[in-house]
Amino acid sequence: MFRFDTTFTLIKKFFIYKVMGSNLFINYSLGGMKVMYRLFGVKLTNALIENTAGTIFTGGVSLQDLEREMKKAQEERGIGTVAMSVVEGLKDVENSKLDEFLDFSLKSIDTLTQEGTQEGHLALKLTAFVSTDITEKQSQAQEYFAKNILGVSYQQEDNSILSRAELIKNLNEAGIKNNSEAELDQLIENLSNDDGEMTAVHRYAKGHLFPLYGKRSPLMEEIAQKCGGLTSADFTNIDLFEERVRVMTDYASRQNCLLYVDAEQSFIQAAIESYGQQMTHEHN
Amino acid sequence: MNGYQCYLKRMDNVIPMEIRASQELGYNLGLKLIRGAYMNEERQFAEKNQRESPVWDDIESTHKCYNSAVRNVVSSMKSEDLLFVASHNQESCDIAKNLVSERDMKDLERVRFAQLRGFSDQVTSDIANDGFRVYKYIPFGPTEQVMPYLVRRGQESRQVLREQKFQNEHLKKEILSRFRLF
Repeated sequence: MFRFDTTFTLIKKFFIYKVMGSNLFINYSLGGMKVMYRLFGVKLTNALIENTAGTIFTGGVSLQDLEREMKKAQEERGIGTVAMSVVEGLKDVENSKLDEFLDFSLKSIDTLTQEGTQEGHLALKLTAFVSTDITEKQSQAQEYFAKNILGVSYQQEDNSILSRAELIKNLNEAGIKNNSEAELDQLIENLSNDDGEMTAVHRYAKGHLFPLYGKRSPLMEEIAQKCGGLTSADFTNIDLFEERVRVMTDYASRQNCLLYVDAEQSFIQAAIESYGQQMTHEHN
Repeated sequence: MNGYQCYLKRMDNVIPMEIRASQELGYNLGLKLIRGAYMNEERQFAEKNQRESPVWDDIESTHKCYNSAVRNVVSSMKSEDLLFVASHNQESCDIAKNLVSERDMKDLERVRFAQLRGFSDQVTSDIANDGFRVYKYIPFGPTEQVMPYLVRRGQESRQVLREQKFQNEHLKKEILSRFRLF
């Protein structure tokens, strides 16, 4: 692996690894970075980082930098690249900002696949396309829906079948009492196998309160409101988020780019996992 | 494909369930197995909310969960399924490589490996030399976001740092060998 590096790069790597591996660095570097940004400014501090640790641990700042690093890894070492655009999930973020990130993701797919001529790999956070406060509420609702309403146990040996009466009882316990028969029939159909049974596996694999590739029924919205505290404004933002995800996954699929959904903290993970699972069912 | 965090206790059940669901519903598996990067945050959050921590109590349990997931998936996967072994851990990678070879699935390239750029290059190199598909996970973007992200990975994963020390030995040998040549 190291035989492709120049001696200078090797020595640089050795010292940077030594420093980065020390407890002192690990425990205090974030604070140190903040102080440097204040003392020397963003430009100078970034230039220093980019020319030292940045060259070793990152693919650079822009898509052009990434493309160069990707080619180098493939041509010199026969090693592929999974690109990961680092974005921290934000609260109360403007939709225009989220749309900007969608555009950037589409451009990243073009770069990674060389305009669709080769297999590409992009890791992403779904929280880059929606505010984390909404994802948190969605997760709370999704978790309640799966565990308490559908009785998903996540036990491999679970062979239980949920009856219509049990489902109604669970909905009632969640405070949902006035659902129509037609809505209930639709929910049961979505969760059942060919024999019309809501098996443990079907409830696990199809129990998505926020369908990415289907219609969200008023019953589902009521569950989301009661169990996650989602508002009508949140639903509008969820619609925009789901549209962004569909645009991106469809484009990635056409361009032969594999998408890797980054897992996040437990309090937002149930929604992320649910969307990731639906994407897998649709595109794998 | 989803990332499955093996430092979470529930993964012992979720991953077998995911395998069973893919078999019964007839879709292709797509799993990226990771150990997880939010251990401290998860523990603090659980403590604050007076809940049981969702994270295994020790690193050995996380290793056990990860390795068991690798065995489960590779032993049962179909030719169109895809597993991404995102790990810096030599033992986990060896388990996956051996099982793939035993099942004669190497040419299908449906089990792939990945390590973060700059970390565990020796592990990456060994996997590539053994003829498996291996990737470097390359973070990119504004420096003020990327570097804190990497530092947090280092803070969360002392294991990676232990692997890094192992890598440094190889690096030192390579540097010394260059000077001997001159």
